Amino acid sequence: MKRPVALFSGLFISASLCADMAPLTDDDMSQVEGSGLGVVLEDFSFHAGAETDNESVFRITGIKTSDGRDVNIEVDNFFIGGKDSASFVDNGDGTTSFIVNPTGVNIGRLNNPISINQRDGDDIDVRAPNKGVLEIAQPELKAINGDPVWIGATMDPCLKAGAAECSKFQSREATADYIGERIDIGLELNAEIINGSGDPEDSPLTIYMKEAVFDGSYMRLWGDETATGSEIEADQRHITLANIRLNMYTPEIYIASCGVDGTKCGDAVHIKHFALDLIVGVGEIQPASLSVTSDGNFQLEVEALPNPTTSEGSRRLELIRNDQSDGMTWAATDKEFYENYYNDTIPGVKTKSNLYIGDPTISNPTFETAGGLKVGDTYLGTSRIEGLQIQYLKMTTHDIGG
Amino acid sequence: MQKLLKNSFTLVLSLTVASTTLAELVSVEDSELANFSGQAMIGIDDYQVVQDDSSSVDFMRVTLGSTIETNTTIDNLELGTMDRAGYSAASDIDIDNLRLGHIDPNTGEYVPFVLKNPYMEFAFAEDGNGVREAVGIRVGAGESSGSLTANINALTGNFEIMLDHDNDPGTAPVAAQLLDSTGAATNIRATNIGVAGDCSSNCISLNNLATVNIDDSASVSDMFLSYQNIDLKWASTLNDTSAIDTNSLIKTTQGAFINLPTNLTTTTDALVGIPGAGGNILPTRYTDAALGLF
Repeated sequence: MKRPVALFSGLFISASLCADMAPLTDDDMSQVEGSGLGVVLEDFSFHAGAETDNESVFRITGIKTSDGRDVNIEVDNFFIGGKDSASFVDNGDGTTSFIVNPTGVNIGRLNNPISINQRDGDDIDVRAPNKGVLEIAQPELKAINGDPVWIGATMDPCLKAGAAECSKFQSREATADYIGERIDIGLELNAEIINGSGDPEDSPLTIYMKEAVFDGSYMRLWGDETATGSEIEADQRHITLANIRLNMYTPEIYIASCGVDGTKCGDAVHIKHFALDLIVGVGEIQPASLSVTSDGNFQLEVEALPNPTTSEGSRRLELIRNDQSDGMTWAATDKEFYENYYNDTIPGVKTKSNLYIGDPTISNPTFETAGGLKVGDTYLGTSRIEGLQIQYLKMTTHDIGG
Repeated sequence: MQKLLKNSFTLVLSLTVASTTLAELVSVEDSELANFSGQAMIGIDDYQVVQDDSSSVDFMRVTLGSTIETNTTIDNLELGTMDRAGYSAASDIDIDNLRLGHIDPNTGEYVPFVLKNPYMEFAFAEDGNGVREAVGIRVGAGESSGSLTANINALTGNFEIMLDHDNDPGTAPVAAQLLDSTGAATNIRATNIGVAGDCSSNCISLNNLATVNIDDSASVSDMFLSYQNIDLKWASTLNDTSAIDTNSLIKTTQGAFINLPTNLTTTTDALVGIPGAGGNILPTRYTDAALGLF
């Protein structure tokens, strides 16, 4: 893959930072080719909603309960930062306080940035021949245990291989000498709901995700129209199609309820090792599309596989199977096409998603043991969803009051 | 296509440079605003339920106003994997080959599973000092319909099916119970379904079920999956949250729990899965033998 030049980093950070310009080493330069755009946010942090003194508070209004009462949401803290941007501090009385103080984080780095590329549909696994594909991608996914698949069949490479393997993600950990490329993200909000007496009642909620890694995630977009010489697609839908892959790994997630000032947090849902590998849309075999219906609602659709019992399905199947423009022979027969799809064995294309939720507990967030599990509090058991395959999906939003 | 890409890049450029540009805000005319109407896509509910121990638990439900139609398969679903004294199964919920929706054997068209108004909900108890403590979390849908096929190795939860006695048509249907391997009723890590104590004739392995059409007569409410650290009663989504009907509460057990309501009335014989063409396990893949295509 060509590596894009990091053009935008200066634009992004110049408004708020006065950083020294440092020369690139020859090693760094050798990794860079002139193609596409790269985004690097160095020493980045974001914190909103905390300045309550001057009413600089992020509010969401207009939401109702199912029985028509008003709900006002006040976002007290929303932050993105580096390692230890927030913490639960023991109050000594069985409760904790949620303290937010975002640190800096490097989002991407010069030889491995967030990239915005125009790519050739023949060269990548979307199987969109003769088409340009706009790709927005996180840093590349580096192999874990020699396996470039995110979590794959074993689901929990970090747990099985130990923390040393988790440190081998492309996005690097923070150290004493380096601020790191893994992101802390948190949100503290209060849903103020008007009760039957007309008085507001608070429902505070705190969510905190530590040192998240998104390596290998991407969104690929291309137009669905018949280009000269295109073998695939003749129904002229003229819509934007997409493939989305969301890889997310985080060693810890907390879901708690604290007082509206962030103090007096009780027991929290605490997950250790959360890994998601989500596939939405499989190349041009089964692309995803986002559209707006005539009545103004959103619609996300992942196209169904061709129905081989219909002439239209057979025609589509034939076109897809015979597309050899990328040099791959992957389905000599219709049966082989479907078997490859269902078994997730199409070369270069992944069709199945996975989710791993490690060691969820409901407990005091500061209470740890050497083994990682919390003792004396409730353990809910590790959970996994393995081999999730979306053969068809259509999600249409609607007015919940209607 | 090239034009699209150019436009896309222009959009990206505009977004990225916005942070460094001092742009003047211009008011929107009333006539322009009149063309827009807000869609209440998200709803939030907050309510309390008195539990069996007389404590009050506060619930906060976030609902996404949407309808999801899907044909989805999951190779392995294991939830709540942990030691549980007295049970041999490793997980509270252990399901292989979970399939939502199916392919119509006659037309080859997808018949999707439908979820309406999906939600995520949090449960908080208050300790003696008024501190809110998380006690549970669940995801579910207000209404569900469609077919469900699965090889269930262990199930913690409810699976609501009415059973007609095979050889006694005059007998009123009875509610099927989740059973352990001996035929004793249990809602924790169950391996069979049928009538308790009668596993010789009215007991079916959950690992070998026919496809279950959960909305035999109408869509069903309260299909959900939850985790809780106490035995917890959740409210039905049919309830007006300002006046919870205590008779419709759904009691869950500590750990992972799945609530599978159906409107299905069937016989034990019909509930036993028969694979292949003419069987009662509906196809979910074009390569399935039930379709006979390949």
